[in-house]
Amino acid sequence: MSSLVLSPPRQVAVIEERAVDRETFVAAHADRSRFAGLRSRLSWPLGIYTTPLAVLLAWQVLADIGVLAPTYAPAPTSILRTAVSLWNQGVLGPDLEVSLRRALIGLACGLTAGVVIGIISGLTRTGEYLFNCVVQIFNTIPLLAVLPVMIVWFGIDELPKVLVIAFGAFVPMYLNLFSAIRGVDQRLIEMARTTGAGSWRLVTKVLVPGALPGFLVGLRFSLAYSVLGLVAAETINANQGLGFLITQGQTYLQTNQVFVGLVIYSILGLLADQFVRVLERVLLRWRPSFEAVA
Amino acid sequence: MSTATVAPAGINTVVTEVVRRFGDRTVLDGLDLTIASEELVVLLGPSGCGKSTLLRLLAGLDRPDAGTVEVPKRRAVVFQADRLLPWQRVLANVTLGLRGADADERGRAALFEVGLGERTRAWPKQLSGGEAQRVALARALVAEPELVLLDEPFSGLDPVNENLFREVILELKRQGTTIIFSTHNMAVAEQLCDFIFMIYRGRKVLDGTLDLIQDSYGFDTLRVRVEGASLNGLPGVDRVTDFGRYQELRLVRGADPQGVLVELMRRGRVDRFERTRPSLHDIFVRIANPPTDGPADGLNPSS
Repeated sequence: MSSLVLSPPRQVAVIEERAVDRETFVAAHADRSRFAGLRSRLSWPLGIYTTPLAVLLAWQVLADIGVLAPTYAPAPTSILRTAVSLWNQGVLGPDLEVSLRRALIGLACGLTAGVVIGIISGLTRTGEYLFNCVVQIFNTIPLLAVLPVMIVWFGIDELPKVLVIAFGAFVPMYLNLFSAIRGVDQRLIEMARTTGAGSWRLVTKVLVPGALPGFLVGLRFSLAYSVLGLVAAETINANQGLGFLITQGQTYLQTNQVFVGLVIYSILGLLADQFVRVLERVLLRWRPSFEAVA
Repeated sequence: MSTATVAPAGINTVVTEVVRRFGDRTVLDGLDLTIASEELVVLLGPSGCGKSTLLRLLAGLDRPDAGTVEVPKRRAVVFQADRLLPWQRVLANVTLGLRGADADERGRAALFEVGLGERTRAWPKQLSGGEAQRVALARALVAEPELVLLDEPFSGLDPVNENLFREVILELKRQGTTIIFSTHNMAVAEQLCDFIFMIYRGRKVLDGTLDLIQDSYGFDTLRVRVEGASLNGLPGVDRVTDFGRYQELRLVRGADPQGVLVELMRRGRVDRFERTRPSLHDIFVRIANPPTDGPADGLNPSS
């Protein structure tokens, strides 16, 4: 269709006088070769494990060429051999089991208390007045400083160890859950009230799901602090468990044995992190998050 | 405090002597409002005049500082932003306040009504702005309310969505629902509404049907298009507004439009000359933006 309206002459001169910085955008990937997909997969084949594996590799090489003395930092393969032999001697298995049981019981107690009290405090004024100040004070007490009190009160058997782990898990879970519930968008709560949804719906459909991101942050800290509590409790007084293994290794200058304990602690930490990542992917499906750039 | 009362038949909403203050700023100052059942009412007023405050009072989200607000128990609100729960799928958002085994079915029906029957499983973040607004509308419909409050429902909608919103609102009205909405879109207000309320500085300054309101101003407006002539200093003309393709002249009370026409023809070529009642747009401007060089016409709240 042709236009019958004559367009007015453009004032080209004016445009030319002012140089304009311009940007041109083209379709994503259009400027890459057909190997682009393969290349992007090859560029970070190990993903988040890149740095740990690089450190391990460097460590192995340095140990092999003799820069690191075996008594100072034994090679990863040597640590692995020690782990296997300790397992075969029937030492590592029971120790690991004892430690895991302590961690799980402590975590279960701490998380349950943190979630229950966190939700009560988050939802009600009464709960806030009863608990919040106390937990805020707990938060400023270092975990390691709690241990001596626990020993004085409860002796040196399982209870103080489990309590320290529970304490470590409880505080961050409570704090994060409380502030997450209080931080749920006021406008959404208002909206829910206007739809005629009752208190139960308000809690289960608005407040709890809205607080999930904060809950997961709390869980991450809780898992980390519970491992910390485990280490502290087992290192100071124990006759069984990973911490005992490490202390024993230190006493008899078995550097390998010390490292076996450390490696298992770090694997526990890694597993905890992976667990939270999976939870985040499942529970926060609704939230399109930032996909980092290349 | 809220108490259950039974309003006389035919009356949906009664606002009596309502005062609402924020700090030392009085947003609503002794407002009275009576809205009959099954009416479609528009709430006008410049930004910050208290429209949203009034809607919040009607929704029961706030309490007045003085006076009473009487509204049906079954009411629904469509907020200016969609306010969908991002962690619930579309259908669950719509059925949030529903009880009973047929909740999902009713939710689906409401979504179908706003043209989103296919998107029940979507997450709110996957919707376009217009779609999200339609879900919010479906959430209000699904409860079969007696009063629907909408805060600027037509802002930010494309023409297709605007049509859909209008159709749904009219359908609600046919079903006997009372509807109150605020808007800055005067064309929509003129087309849709049975009743117009305007709030200015916390008080009601307009109250009536469009015809009644326009009649109270009389045929005092001229729409003209004059080639190559200045429209300044026309005798009998109070104010000139340039709309680009035409100019609107407001006559001084009692001025003779024929005299203006003669003067215009003396000045240039008259392409258009039309005598009308003022548009709602013009009435709004007259109230909310009175000329600084003289008193505003009769509806100035201070008079």
